[in-house]
Amino acid sequence: MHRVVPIVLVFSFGAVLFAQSSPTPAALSRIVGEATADRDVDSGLSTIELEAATDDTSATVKASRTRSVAMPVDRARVVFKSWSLAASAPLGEGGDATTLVSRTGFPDAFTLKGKYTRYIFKGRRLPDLTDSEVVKRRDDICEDVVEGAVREGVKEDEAKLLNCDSGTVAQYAPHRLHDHNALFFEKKRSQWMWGGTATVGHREFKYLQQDLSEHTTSKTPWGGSAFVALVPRNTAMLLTAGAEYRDKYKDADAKTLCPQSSGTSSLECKTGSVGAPVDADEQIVYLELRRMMLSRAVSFKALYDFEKDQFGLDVPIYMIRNSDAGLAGGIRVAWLETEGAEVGVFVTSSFSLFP
Amino acid sequence: MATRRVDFTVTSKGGVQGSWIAVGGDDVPLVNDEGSITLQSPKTHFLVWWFVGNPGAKLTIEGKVGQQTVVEVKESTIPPGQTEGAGSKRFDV
Repeated sequence: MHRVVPIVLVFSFGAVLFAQSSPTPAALSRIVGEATADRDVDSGLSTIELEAATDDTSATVKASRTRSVAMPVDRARVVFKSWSLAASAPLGEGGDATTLVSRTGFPDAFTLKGKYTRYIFKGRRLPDLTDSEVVKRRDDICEDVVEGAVREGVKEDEAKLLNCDSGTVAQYAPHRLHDHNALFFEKKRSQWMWGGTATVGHREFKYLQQDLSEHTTSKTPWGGSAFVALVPRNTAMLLTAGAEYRDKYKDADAKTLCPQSSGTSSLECKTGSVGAPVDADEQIVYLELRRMMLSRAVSFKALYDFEKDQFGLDVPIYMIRNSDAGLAGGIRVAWLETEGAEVGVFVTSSFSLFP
Repeated sequence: MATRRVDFTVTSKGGVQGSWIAVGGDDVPLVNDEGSITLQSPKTHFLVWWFVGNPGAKLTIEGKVGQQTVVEVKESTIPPGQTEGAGSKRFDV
């Protein structure tokens, strides 16, 4: 069977519009500006995504492909497994845009990233709809939905076409939501997920030698991550614990080099990274709480980088809706132990509990 | 009684993290959001679905026998403040 795979073009961007003074504003601006747009396994669609963060060197173009399997383990437990492979490339001129809080890992290099996620839902109930008593309970709830919709001004013929599901029951017959859920869910239920990523990249570095000659070298950054997450019952919240390792490189410090003075002739100096790229490995562990409310959403992420021996916090608060009614912007607070705090405004793609 | 094969396609938007469907008492495994089941015909059946994701996330399901749509669920929605939704629908094959 052939399937037409839609191609979706997504633009997302993060931007610091203002920032309070801080000891190293450039570094923190990169943290504040990193958009939470990493949703490779959000759907079964192939996606091309453009992202741009605070400085133009971290813009990337990304194409991804997702595969998934939804199947029961037993009558009460179901799993949803998904795999994705994404290729991304920077649109700018290199730079060291990867930050402590970055999710995508290597925004300054061409990368291939594989991701696996396994979602486990325990507490599903498969109603016996061959049992006339069960069918009657179901039909009574559905009739209440139709009556409730008519009471709220929906035309009767349109009300009869409404779905009979959790959404319509909550909207038109909220007093029956418990009864409806009892048909499809066990009282005790749980949702949790785990997964990981593997990333490999390629990046070219240009640098100056002490004799002012220009050199080019290529490096192969790589990394991996693992996470486990839990959705507490009856809350729109996700609690995640994870770890990430990145074996990466950055430009050596930039300097201006001038040739030895030969007396009266003018000097021709060069400015740039001096020396070969240096290691910039990261070993990060983190805890994250993502919470979605009616009019806003928040992510609270606390992390520790063993390589740099420092703590960090990242707290974006989403409160601005986009044209699709998704929460896509707000205020972001970032803090690094060694560099202090900074507040910024950001705009990005819609918030999701499941990044 | 004769049988007919029904091909289901599931689409989602708004952040659906996982979805599962069943007809009668039998699960329909989905691979890349598509799955099939053979049903007795002519007969009335119940489609049942469950899904998890963001509050407000929407799921659409279409079941076809050949090119003919025999059941369609348009934008079933996870209620506000919840991360799970479910529903059911009668259809004839």
